[in-house]
Amino acid sequence: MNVIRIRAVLLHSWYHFTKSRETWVDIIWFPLVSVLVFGFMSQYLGEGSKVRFLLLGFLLWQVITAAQYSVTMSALWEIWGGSLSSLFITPLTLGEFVLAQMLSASFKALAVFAFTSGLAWLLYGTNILTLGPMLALYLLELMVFGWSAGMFILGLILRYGTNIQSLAWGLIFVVEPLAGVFYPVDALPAALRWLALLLPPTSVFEAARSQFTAGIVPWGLLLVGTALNAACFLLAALFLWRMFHRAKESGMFAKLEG
Amino acid sequence: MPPVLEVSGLSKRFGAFAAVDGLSFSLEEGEVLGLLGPNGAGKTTSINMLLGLTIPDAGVISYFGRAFPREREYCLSRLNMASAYSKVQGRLSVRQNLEVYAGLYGVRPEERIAELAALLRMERHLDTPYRNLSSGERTRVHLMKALLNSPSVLLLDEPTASLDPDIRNEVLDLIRELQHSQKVSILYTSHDMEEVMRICDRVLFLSQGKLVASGTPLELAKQVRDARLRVTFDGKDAEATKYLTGKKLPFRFPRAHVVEVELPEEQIPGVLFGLAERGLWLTRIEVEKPHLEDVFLAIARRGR
Repeated sequence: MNVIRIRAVLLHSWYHFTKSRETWVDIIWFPLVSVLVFGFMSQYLGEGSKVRFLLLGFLLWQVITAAQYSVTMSALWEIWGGSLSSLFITPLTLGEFVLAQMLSASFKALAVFAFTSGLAWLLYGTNILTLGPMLALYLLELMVFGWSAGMFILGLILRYGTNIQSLAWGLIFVVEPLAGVFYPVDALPAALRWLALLLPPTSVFEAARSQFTAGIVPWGLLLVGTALNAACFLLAALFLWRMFHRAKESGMFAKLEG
Repeated sequence: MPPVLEVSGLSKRFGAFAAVDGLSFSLEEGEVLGLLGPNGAGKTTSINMLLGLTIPDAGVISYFGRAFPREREYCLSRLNMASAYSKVQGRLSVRQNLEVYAGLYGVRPEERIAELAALLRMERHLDTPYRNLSSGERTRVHLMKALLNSPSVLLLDEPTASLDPDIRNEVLDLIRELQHSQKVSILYTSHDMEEVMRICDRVLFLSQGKLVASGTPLELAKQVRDARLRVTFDGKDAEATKYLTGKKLPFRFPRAHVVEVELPEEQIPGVLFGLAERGLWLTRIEVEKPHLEDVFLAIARRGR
């Protein structure tokens, strides 16, 4: 890993972010509208802690989507701009590129989280900081899962081309109904619960809900979730590396921009 | 001195289609080597493999005696590429794009960018977004990017496409200058045969993925077609026909009193003397020498 090259990719990402309004809309506008919807819905449904967790669940969910979006879209912007191959004819490695994108994604995801959490507190009096120091662990877990999802989707796009690029926006939402973001896993049909528990973010949402509503942190569940998250991250990194290699073998990598 | 680039048995298939089939060649220090061939001949696939963008099915590539892509970082830090078809981020200014690439090569950006901007007359465009540049200006940005790391090997894929003639001339002079002063070795593809004749020391012709001819541009031009002699004369077409038929040379009369003959260059004086000896008054003599373009066309025709 070369720090100077990672810094160069981060600079690229920053320059690009400052110049592309589409990214601002995706990263700021949609979360802003969503926080309003969830905030008003929570107010309408009443004052119970389960209801208030709807908004908190949404705030935490944003971390996953922002991190995944940023990792995947960074490469898509390069593909659309016809410059992905120009980056990879320099000594830049895939690991350096992805690490830089994960760092950039973390900044963006935390900025979105701070922005939407601030709004939730100002407009609806819902303070996510009531989760205390555990919030840092929850954010880290969700961020790592967002990176993993980003790497997995990027691997698919590198391998199969931009005709499946809409996965960059849509695929992550497969996780949302299963991961207990707005309701506990118990609310799911029995056949889906085991699948839900295999998803790393489920443990985070379940733990945060338990802490918020009953003041209890289920450490066992969090530990299992962390192990699943680590496995998921390794598998996603391996998958991306394999797909990158396969795309170079099949000639797809050089044709992505055409 | 070992070659700066050595390629041996390079092959790539896409399904049943052999894009590159057993390509072997070497590039010497300070040499400009042309890689030519009709569309689909395998030039782009070869360049993609030389840059590590496509993994070959078979074959060995080495730069400066080091295996590629095993020693990818070392090799790529000493080579670079410019193509009329590659791009950088359109929304970023020229300077911003170059700063990023300078970082990727570990080069201090300020001085190098200023130096290259002066060299390629791009000073006033440094803060212009890349997408607002004309195609000629974009080509110059690609060249600036390609020279950022002061490469020892440059792969240039039609670098002068869409340049105005004066800038094109300057770029070709610059390439020659780089070759002479810094001993940069260049692998050069172009469809402009005049440019290839002017700049390349040696040329490789690819067809259907295979190397079908190689040599200096002049050697290759001589291989393919005879010179064309066009003689305008006073009367006696029948005499000319009789003489040329006797010499068993292919000829035709595009109009009365003008004959075109295809023949090896060294036979030209003899044929002119023979025609004159038969009482033809030769009023105009034109010789069209074989050209690299004829090699290109012949190979393209063979490949169809």
